[in-house]
Amino acid sequence: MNINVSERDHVTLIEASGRIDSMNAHQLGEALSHEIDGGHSQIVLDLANVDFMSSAGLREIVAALKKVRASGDLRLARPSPRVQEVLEMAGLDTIFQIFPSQVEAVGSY
Amino acid sequence: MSESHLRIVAVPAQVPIACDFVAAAAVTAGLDDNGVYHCQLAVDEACTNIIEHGYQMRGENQVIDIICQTEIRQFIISILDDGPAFNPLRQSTPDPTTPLEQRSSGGWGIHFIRQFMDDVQYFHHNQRNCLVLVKRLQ
Repeated sequence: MNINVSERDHVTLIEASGRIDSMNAHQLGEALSHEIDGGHSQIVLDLANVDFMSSAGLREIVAALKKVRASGDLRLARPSPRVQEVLEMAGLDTIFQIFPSQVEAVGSY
Repeated sequence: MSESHLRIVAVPAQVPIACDFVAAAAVTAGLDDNGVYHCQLAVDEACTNIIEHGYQMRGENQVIDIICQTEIRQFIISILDDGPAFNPLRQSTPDPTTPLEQRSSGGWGIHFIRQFMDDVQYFHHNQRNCLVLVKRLQ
Protein backbone atom coordinates (compact mmCIF):
# COMPACT_ATOMS: atom_id res chain seq x y z
CA MET A 1 0.00 0.00 0.00
CA ASN A 2 1.12 3.54 -0.73
CA ILE A 3 -0.25 6.61 1.05
CA ASN A 4 0.11 10.15 -0.20
CA VAL A 5 -1.01 13.13 1.90
CA SER A 6 -1.58 16.62 0.49
CA GLU A 7 -3.65 19.75 1.08
CA ARG A 8 -6.42 21.01 -1.25
CA ASP A 9 -8.37 24.15 -0.37
CA HIS A 10 -7.83 23.65 3.40
CA VAL A 11 -8.87 20.01 3.12
CA THR A 12 -6.46 17.17 3.85
CA LEU A 13 -6.43 14.74 0.94
CA ILE A 14 -5.14 11.24 1.64
CA GLU A 15 -4.69 9.05 -1.42
CA ALA A 16 -4.22 5.35 -0.74
CA SER A 17 -3.36 2.76 -3.35
CA GLY A 18 -2.70 -0.95 -3.57
CA ARG A 19 -3.65 -3.63 -1.10
CA ILE A 20 -5.00 -2.80 2.37
CA ASP A 21 -5.02 -5.88 4.60
CA SER A 22 -4.31 -6.92 8.17
CA MET A 23 -0.57 -6.57 7.62
CA ASN A 24 -0.61 -2.90 6.65
CA ALA A 25 -4.02 -1.47 7.63
CA HIS A 26 -2.45 0.07 10.74
CA GLN A 27 -0.37 2.31 8.44
CA LEU A 28 -3.57 3.82 7.07
CA GLY A 29 -4.90 4.22 10.60
CA GLU A 30 -1.70 5.92 11.68
CA ALA A 31 -1.80 8.30 8.71
CA LEU A 32 -5.39 9.25 9.51
CA SER A 33 -4.66 9.64 13.24
CA HIS A 34 -1.61 11.75 12.51
CA GLU A 35 -3.75 14.23 10.55
CA ILE A 36 -6.56 14.28 13.09
CA ASP A 37 -4.17 14.70 16.02
CA GLY A 38 -2.48 17.51 14.10
CA GLY A 39 -5.72 19.45 14.00
CA HIS A 40 -6.75 18.57 10.47
CA SER A 41 -10.40 17.71 10.80
CA GLN A 42 -11.58 18.05 7.21
CA ILE A 43 -10.26 14.94 5.53
CA VAL A 44 -10.90 13.24 2.19
CA LEU A 45 -9.69 9.67 1.70
CA ASP A 46 -9.33 8.78 -1.99
CA LEU A 47 -9.73 5.04 -2.53
CA ALA A 48 -9.79 4.93 -6.33
CA ASN A 49 -6.58 2.91 -6.58
CA VAL A 50 -7.19 0.50 -3.73
CA ASP A 51 -7.69 -2.89 -5.33
CA PHE A 52 -8.02 -4.97 -2.14
CA MET A 53 -9.49 -3.98 1.22
CA SER A 54 -10.18 -6.44 4.00
CA SER A 55 -12.12 -5.86 7.20
CA ALA A 56 -8.85 -4.68 8.82
CA GLY A 57 -8.91 -1.64 6.52
CA LEU A 58 -12.55 -0.93 7.30
CA ARG A 59 -11.75 -1.08 11.01
CA GLU A 60 -9.18 1.67 10.61
CA ILE A 61 -11.41 4.05 8.67
CA VAL A 62 -14.31 3.51 11.08
CA ALA A 63 -12.01 4.25 14.04
CA ALA A 64 -10.78 7.41 12.30
CA LEU A 65 -14.33 8.53 11.55
CA LYS A 66 -15.31 8.09 15.20
CA LYS A 67 -12.27 10.08 16.24
CA VAL A 68 -12.78 13.01 13.86
CA ARG A 69 -16.56 13.32 13.99
CA ALA A 70 -16.51 15.59 17.05
CA SER A 71 -14.65 18.32 15.19
CA GLY A 72 -14.91 17.51 11.50
CA ASP A 73 -15.43 14.64 9.08
CA LEU A 74 -13.72 11.94 7.07
CA ARG A 75 -15.25 11.68 3.60
CA LEU A 76 -14.49 9.10 0.93
CA ALA A 77 -13.76 9.80 -2.73
CA ARG A 78 -14.30 7.44 -5.67
CA PRO A 79 -13.94 4.07 -3.97
CA SER A 80 -12.98 1.35 -6.42
CA PRO A 81 -15.76 -1.19 -7.13
CA ARG A 82 -14.09 -3.70 -4.83
CA VAL A 83 -13.89 -1.21 -1.97
CA GLN A 84 -17.46 -0.09 -2.64
CA GLU A 85 -18.58 -3.71 -2.36
CA VAL A 86 -17.17 -4.18 1.16
CA LEU A 87 -18.36 -0.73 2.24
CA GLU A 88 -21.90 -1.70 1.26
CA MET A 89 -21.63 -5.14 2.80
CA ALA A 90 -20.67 -3.58 6.15
CA GLY A 91 -23.34 -0.87 5.85
CA LEU A 92 -20.67 1.84 5.74
CA ASP A 93 -21.99 3.36 2.52
CA THR A 94 -24.72 4.95 4.64
CA ILE A 95 -22.35 6.10 7.40
CA PHE A 96 -19.61 7.71 5.31
CA GLN A 97 -20.26 10.50 2.86
CA ILE A 98 -18.99 9.11 -0.43
CA PHE A 99 -18.31 11.18 -3.54
CA PRO A 100 -17.65 10.12 -7.14
CA SER A 101 -14.70 12.49 -7.58
CA GLN A 102 -11.92 14.12 -5.57
CA VAL A 103 -13.14 17.58 -6.59
CA GLU A 104 -16.64 16.93 -5.29
CA ALA A 105 -15.35 15.42 -2.05
CA VAL A 106 -13.01 18.33 -1.37
CA GLY A 107 -15.66 20.84 -2.44
CA SER A 108 -18.23 19.32 -0.07
CA TYR A 109 -16.53 20.99 2.91
CA MET B 1 -10.20 -32.85 -10.49
CA SER B 2 -7.06 -31.31 -9.06
CA GLU B 3 -5.60 -30.54 -5.64
CA SER B 4 -2.80 -28.29 -4.39
CA HIS B 5 -1.48 -27.63 -0.93
CA LEU B 6 0.35 -24.74 0.73
CA ARG B 7 1.70 -24.51 4.27
CA ILE B 8 2.46 -21.07 5.69
CA VAL B 9 3.89 -19.93 9.01
CA ALA B 10 1.08 -18.33 11.01
CA VAL B 11 2.27 -14.73 10.86
CA PRO B 12 0.59 -11.77 9.09
CA ALA B 13 3.40 -11.40 6.54
CA GLN B 14 2.58 -14.84 5.13
CA VAL B 15 -1.11 -14.15 4.52
CA PRO B 16 -0.59 -12.51 1.09
CA ILE B 17 1.31 -15.65 0.05
CA ALA B 18 -1.76 -17.72 0.91
CA CYS B 19 -3.96 -15.29 -1.04
CA ASP B 20 -1.72 -15.48 -4.09
CA PHE B 21 -1.67 -19.28 -3.91
CA VAL B 22 -5.47 -19.44 -3.76
CA ALA B 23 -5.84 -16.87 -6.54
CA ALA B 24 -3.65 -18.93 -8.86
CA ALA B 25 -5.64 -22.09 -8.11
CA ALA B 26 -8.94 -20.21 -8.55
CA VAL B 27 -7.84 -18.90 -11.95
CA THR B 28 -6.87 -22.41 -13.02
CA ALA B 29 -10.26 -23.64 -11.81
CA GLY B 30 -11.94 -21.17 -14.15
CA LEU B 31 -13.36 -18.59 -11.74
CA ASP B 32 -13.84 -15.08 -13.14
CA ASP B 33 -12.02 -12.01 -11.76
CA ASN B 34 -14.67 -11.32 -9.13
CA GLY B 35 -14.75 -14.94 -8.01
CA VAL B 36 -10.97 -15.01 -7.70
CA TYR B 37 -11.03 -11.78 -5.68
CA HIS B 38 -13.73 -13.10 -3.36
CA CYS B 39 -11.67 -16.23 -2.68
CA GLN B 40 -8.61 -14.10 -1.92
CA LEU B 41 -10.51 -11.86 0.46
CA ALA B 42 -12.13 -14.83 2.23
CA VAL B 43 -8.74 -16.50 2.70
CA ASP B 44 -7.23 -13.25 3.98
CA GLU B 45 -10.00 -12.91 6.56
CA ALA B 46 -9.86 -16.57 7.62
CA CYS B 47 -6.06 -16.65 8.01
CA THR B 48 -6.06 -13.31 9.82
CA ASN B 49 -8.65 -14.62 12.31
CA ILE B 50 -6.53 -17.71 12.96
CA ILE B 51 -3.36 -15.68 13.47
CA GLU B 52 -4.96 -13.00 15.66
CA HIS B 53 -7.41 -15.09 17.69
CA GLY B 54 -6.46 -18.77 17.32
CA TYR B 55 -2.72 -18.33 17.74
CA GLN B 56 -3.01 -14.99 19.62
CA MET B 57 -0.31 -13.43 17.38
CA ARG B 58 2.21 -16.01 18.64
CA GLY B 59 2.24 -18.17 15.55
CA GLU B 60 5.92 -18.05 14.63
CA ASN B 61 6.20 -21.76 15.40
CA GLN B 62 2.72 -22.63 14.14
CA VAL B 63 1.39 -23.31 10.67
CA ILE B 64 -1.73 -22.88 8.59
CA ASP B 65 -2.41 -25.37 5.81
CA ILE B 66 -4.36 -24.31 2.75
CA ILE B 67 -5.68 -26.95 0.37
CA CYS B 68 -7.36 -26.04 -2.92
CA GLN B 69 -9.45 -28.65 -4.71
CA THR B 70 -11.16 -28.23 -8.04
CA GLU B 71 -14.10 -30.51 -8.70
CA ILE B 72 -16.48 -30.58 -11.64
CA ARG B 73 -18.85 -27.98 -10.24
CA GLN B 74 -17.02 -26.37 -7.35
CA PHE B 75 -13.76 -24.89 -6.13
CA ILE B 76 -13.03 -25.84 -2.52
CA ILE B 77 -10.58 -24.14 -0.15
CA SER B 78 -9.82 -25.91 3.13
CA ILE B 79 -7.95 -23.95 5.81
CA LEU B 80 -6.54 -25.94 8.71
CA ASP B 81 -4.88 -24.79 11.92
CA ASP B 82 -3.82 -26.18 15.29
CA GLY B 83 -5.25 -23.46 17.52
CA PRO B 84 -7.86 -24.12 20.21
CA ALA B 85 -11.10 -25.54 18.79
CA PHE B 86 -13.12 -22.61 17.53
CA ASN B 87 -16.10 -22.54 15.21
CA PRO B 88 -16.24 -19.06 13.65
CA LEU B 89 -19.64 -19.83 12.15
CA ARG B 90 -21.16 -19.78 15.65
CA GLN B 91 -20.26 -16.12 16.06
CA SER B 92 -23.14 -13.69 15.82
CA THR B 93 -23.45 -11.83 12.55
CA PRO B 94 -22.77 -8.10 12.85
CA ASP B 95 -25.61 -5.80 11.87
CA PRO B 96 -24.75 -3.48 8.94
CA THR B 97 -27.42 -1.03 10.11
CA THR B 98 -25.69 -0.39 13.46
CA PRO B 99 -25.04 3.34 13.96
CA LEU B 100 -21.42 4.51 13.99
CA GLU B 101 -21.34 5.19 17.75
CA GLN B 102 -22.47 1.64 18.60
CA ARG B 103 -20.17 -0.20 16.22
CA SER B 104 -17.61 -2.58 17.65
CA SER B 105 -14.46 -3.18 15.70
CA GLY B 106 -14.70 -6.93 15.13
CA GLY B 107 -16.85 -9.54 13.50
CA TRP B 108 -16.81 -8.40 9.91
CA GLY B 109 -14.24 -10.89 8.65
CA ILE B 110 -16.45 -13.94 9.03
CA HIS B 111 -19.40 -11.95 7.69
CA PHE B 112 -17.44 -11.22 4.51
CA ILE B 113 -16.44 -14.88 4.20
CA ARG B 114 -20.09 -15.92 4.40
CA GLN B 115 -21.14 -13.29 1.87
CA PHE B 116 -18.35 -13.92 -0.64
CA MET B 117 -18.44 -17.71 -0.66
CA ASP B 118 -21.31 -19.96 -1.77
CA ASP B 119 -20.92 -22.34 1.16
CA VAL B 120 -18.87 -22.30 4.36
CA GLN B 121 -18.47 -25.23 6.77
CA TYR B 122 -16.44 -25.85 9.91
CA PHE B 123 -15.08 -29.13 11.23
CA HIS B 124 -12.84 -30.03 14.15
CA HIS B 125 -10.99 -33.18 13.19
CA ASN B 126 -7.76 -34.77 14.43
CA GLN B 127 -7.25 -31.87 16.87
CA ARG B 128 -7.32 -29.37 13.99
CA ASN B 129 -9.74 -26.62 13.04
CA CYS B 130 -10.84 -26.92 9.43
CA LEU B 131 -12.77 -24.18 7.66
CA VAL B 132 -14.06 -25.20 4.24
CA LEU B 133 -14.92 -22.47 1.74
CA VAL B 134 -16.78 -23.38 -1.43
CA LYS B 135 -17.24 -21.40 -4.61
CA ARG B 136 -19.47 -22.88 -7.29
CA LEU B 137 -18.12 -23.03 -10.82
CA GLN B 138 -20.40 -21.81 -13.60
